[in-house]
Amino acid sequence: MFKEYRFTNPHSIENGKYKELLDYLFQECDVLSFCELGSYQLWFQAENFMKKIEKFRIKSIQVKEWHGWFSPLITCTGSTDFDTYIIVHFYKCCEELKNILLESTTDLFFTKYDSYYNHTIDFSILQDICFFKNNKIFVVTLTHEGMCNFYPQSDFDLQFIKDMLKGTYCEIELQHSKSYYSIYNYNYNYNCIDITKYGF
Amino acid sequence: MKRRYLLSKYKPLLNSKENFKEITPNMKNFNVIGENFKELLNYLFSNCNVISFSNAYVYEDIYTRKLKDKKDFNKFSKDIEKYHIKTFDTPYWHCYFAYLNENEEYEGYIQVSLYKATEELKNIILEYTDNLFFEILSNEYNRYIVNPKTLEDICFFKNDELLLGTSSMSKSCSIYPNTAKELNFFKNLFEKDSYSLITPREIWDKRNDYICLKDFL
Repeated sequence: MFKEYRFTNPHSIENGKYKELLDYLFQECDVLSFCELGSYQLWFQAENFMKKIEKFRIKSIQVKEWHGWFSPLITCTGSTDFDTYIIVHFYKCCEELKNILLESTTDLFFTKYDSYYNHTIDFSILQDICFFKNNKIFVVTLTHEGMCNFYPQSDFDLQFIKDMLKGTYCEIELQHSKSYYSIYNYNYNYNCIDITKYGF
Repeated sequence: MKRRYLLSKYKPLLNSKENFKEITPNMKNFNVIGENFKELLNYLFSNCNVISFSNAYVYEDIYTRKLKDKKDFNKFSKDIEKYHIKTFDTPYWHCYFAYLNENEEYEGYIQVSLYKATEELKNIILEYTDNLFFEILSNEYNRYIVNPKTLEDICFFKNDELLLGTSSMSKSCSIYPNTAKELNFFKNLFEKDSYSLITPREIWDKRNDYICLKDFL
């Protein structure tokens, strides 16, 4: 049995709470990852941010599926014809990286304030931050969907989440480590990521 | 057989059975800039007879999230007016497709202007911009950002058929070469910039964003 904790109001994690969460995650986790889409060039605007955190990079991989991403259905133009791919960058969790994140972001989805549209995705920062503990997925986010899931590995983790979220989460029991559920006809898949198969 | 080649920052997985592959990240802002842009224009203008710019009716700048002010288009449009052939509204274009509403009517037309591809026009474009997506260098962000004051989505047609199409909004550039020689030119040029061309499947009907001018005139 595999349990997933889905935040029902993930946008509420900002400022003080965000710092508290990052403190905990950076203390518990060893690896974090960001995601880029192979053919969606719009998202490739984070070059300055990437250069800044380059020294913490462990490796970058090309994969066909990732949490929330399933490559054959993702294209830059809305048609479903391309064989695309997802780029995942892995970074080492360390204090310095945490400070850079705290400097440049205020919430888990890295939004920025805009006088016209209020909060929009900040394209100058990489997206879909995920945290790994003991090479297994711990926290995943899917920026454009405003989605954030938690996979606690110990009672202590669970207690932390429960204290932090105070009722704004739902508990889902998954029969298999991989679950498939459908949003807008996409197969949102790959809930349990084990990075040992990517050479960790 | 005609195929679409999409310009990309990364080479795709070579083997379809491979689940993952380690890569070196490309930290460049995706664009064709400077000398390579000049070389690309030289080639395209000597091979193509028509170019097009487009202007979506409901359009907002993806970076600033503000609607574009159409008055700002005037200067560049006036400079290139001499070479103007035709302007028309269409529900579909390269990388653009209007939605059908409940009454099966298209919603959201795109305005397309065709221009004769001449040496003079090339020089005007080169004076005006140094990159394929007509972006401007921003001091605030210290990188190229979307320019809200320009025509965009430059497309090149060779004998009425689309050869190179771009979409400034989604920052995509597609090539539809007829011969291996053409394909090689683009491959070599983009490799200089450490970009690569990925090959999707064959073009079929109006899919893959391929367009032919005779459908519009």
